[in-house]
Amino acid sequence: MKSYNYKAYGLNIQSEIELPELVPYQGKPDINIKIGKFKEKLDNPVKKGIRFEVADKEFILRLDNIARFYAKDGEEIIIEPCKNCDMDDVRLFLLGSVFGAVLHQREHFVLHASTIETPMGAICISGPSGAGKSTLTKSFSNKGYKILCDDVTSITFDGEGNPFVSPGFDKIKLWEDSAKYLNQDIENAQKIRKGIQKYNIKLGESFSGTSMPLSAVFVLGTNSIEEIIFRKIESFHKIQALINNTYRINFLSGTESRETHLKQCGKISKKVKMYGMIRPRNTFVVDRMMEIIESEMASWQA
Amino acid sequence: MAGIIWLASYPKSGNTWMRTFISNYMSQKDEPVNINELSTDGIASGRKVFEDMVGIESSYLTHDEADKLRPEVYARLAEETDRTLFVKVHDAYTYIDESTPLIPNKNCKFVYIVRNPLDVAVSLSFHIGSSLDKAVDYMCDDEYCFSKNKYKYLEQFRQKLLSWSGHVQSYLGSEGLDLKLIRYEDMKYDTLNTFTEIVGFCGLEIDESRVKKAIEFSDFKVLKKQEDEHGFKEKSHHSQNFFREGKTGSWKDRLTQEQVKKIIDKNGKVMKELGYL
Repeated sequence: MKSYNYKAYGLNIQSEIELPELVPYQGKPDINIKIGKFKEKLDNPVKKGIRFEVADKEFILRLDNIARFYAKDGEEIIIEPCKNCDMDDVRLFLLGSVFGAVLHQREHFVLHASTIETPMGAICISGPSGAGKSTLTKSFSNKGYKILCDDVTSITFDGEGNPFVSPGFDKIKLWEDSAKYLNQDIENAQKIRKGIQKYNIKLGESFSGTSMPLSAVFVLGTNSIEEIIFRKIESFHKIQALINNTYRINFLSGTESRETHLKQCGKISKKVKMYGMIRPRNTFVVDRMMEIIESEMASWQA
Repeated sequence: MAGIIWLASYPKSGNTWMRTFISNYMSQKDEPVNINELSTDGIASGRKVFEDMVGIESSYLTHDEADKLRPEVYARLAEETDRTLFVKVHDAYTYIDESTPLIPNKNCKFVYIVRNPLDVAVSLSFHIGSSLDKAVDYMCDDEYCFSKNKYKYLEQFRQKLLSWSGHVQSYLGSEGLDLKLIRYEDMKYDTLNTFTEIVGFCGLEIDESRVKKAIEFSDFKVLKKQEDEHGFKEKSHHSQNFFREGKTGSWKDRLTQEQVKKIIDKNGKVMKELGYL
C-alpha cells in the first residue's frame, strides 16, 4: 500500500491515507497511521465516554457513519472507516480528537490554542471553542506574523523545563462569518465537512516551520459586555487556566498522566506570562485585541 | 433523588427566575446568590458536557447529527450523577426517531414553566432584537428554532421550539413524564404556595422560612439591581437588559389587535386550557 510521510508537532508521521493538511517530510516515523481492523473495546478503560474510551496509552473513538479510530502508545493509529464515509470527515476527526489523544499519550502538553510566532517567542491564543482563537490568529497572520498551530497546540519541554511549541498543520479553519470579516477569499476554499460552513484555509507562506520557546498564553473568552476586559493571570490562577484550557483533558489516561499533566502546568506557569481577555459576545473586535496584545509585548521589551 | 430535574420552558417564561430561586434555596446564605454564579447546572443545549462525553468538537456536527447523540449524553448524565442536577431546557419535547425522545425521562423529573404567550411575545421581541410582528410570527411557527444559523459558531445546539402551543403540548402531551406544571403568573401572585410546591416536587426538604428567604432573594428587583450593577452573562446581545420589566399583562399596552388575534388564532386552544383566555 502507498504511504505518505509528513511532519507535525515535531513528529514524523507515516500514513496510509493522504493528509494534505500536513507538511511533507521524510524521516524515521514516530507515528504510523494505518487502515485496518482492531478490537471492539479496550480491556481496562479508565474512562468511557459516549463515543470514546481511554486506557493506559490506548484510545478508541467511534463516530457513526465516519470511522472508528484506535491510538496506542502515541505511536500507532488504526482507522477503520465506515462504508461510504467521506474521507474529509475521517481526516477532520483524525487530525482533531485522535491526534489530541496521541499527543496526550506522548505526554505532550496539549493546549486548546492557536499559536503565532513573534519576535518575543511563541504566543498561544487559547480558549474554548467559539472564543475567537482562529479569527484573532488569522488577523495576526494578515499583519505579517507567522502561524505555528491552529486550534490545537502541542507544548514540549527541554531539559531545564522550558516550554516549546512545534508547528502543527499547514492550515487554519475559519467560520464563514470570520472569513468574510477578514476579507478571506473562501470561494475556492474547502469546507471542513459537507453541511458545515467552516473552511480549511491553507497557510502556505504564513505557516511557521520552526519550533520555538513559548513566551505567553492569552486566554480568550466571551461575555455579554460592551468593552474588552484584559487582565494578567497570576500565581495558581495560571495553573487553573491551563487545566481549563487543556485540549480534551479527559483523554488523559489515569493517575500517572494526570500527575505529569499537573507538573507540566506548574512548569508552564513558572516560565510563561499569562493573560485573560474577555471580549463582547457576537461582535468582532480583533483589531483592538491585537493592539492590546502588541502593546503588552512591547512592555516586555521595555 | 440523584438524577436530573429539567427546568423546561418556552424562552422568556420565567426559567431564570426559577433557577435563581432554586440557587437561593440551596445556598442558605444571608445574601442573594450572584446571578452570574447560579448553582444550577447549565442548559441542555450547551456544548461543554456534550463534548466532554462524546470527545469531539460538537460544532463539526450537523444539527441532526448532534441531536442523534444528545439523548445518550443526557441519559448518561442522569445515570452517573450522584446528586440532583437542575438543568434548564428550552428545546421542545421532540423525538429524534419514532421511539427516542431528545430528552430521555429515566431518572428525570420535569418542572414545566408556562407564561401567558401574549406577555412572552413582548419579552421575546426584546430578547432576540426583533419586531413584535416577527416575535409573534415565530410563536406561531411550528418549525421555529433557536441557534439554527450555519455560517458561524453557535454557543448552543439548535433548539427546536415549535410554536408556543406546540412547545407546551410537547411536554404536557407526552406520556410517562414526571412533570409539574407551573404558571409564571402563579409564581408572581401565589408566590409562597407555588414555590413551596416546587421545592416539594424537586424532593428538597420543605422549610417555609427558607422558601420565603429564597423568594425574597430572587425577587425581580434584586435580580435587576444585580444586572444593572454587574451585568448578566446570559443577556442576549440584542437586548439592553435581561431583566426588563418582569410584569404580567404588559402586552395590553404593546401588542396590536392583529398581533393578539394572530397568537390566539394559533394558540387559543392551549391558552384556554391554561386559563389565559
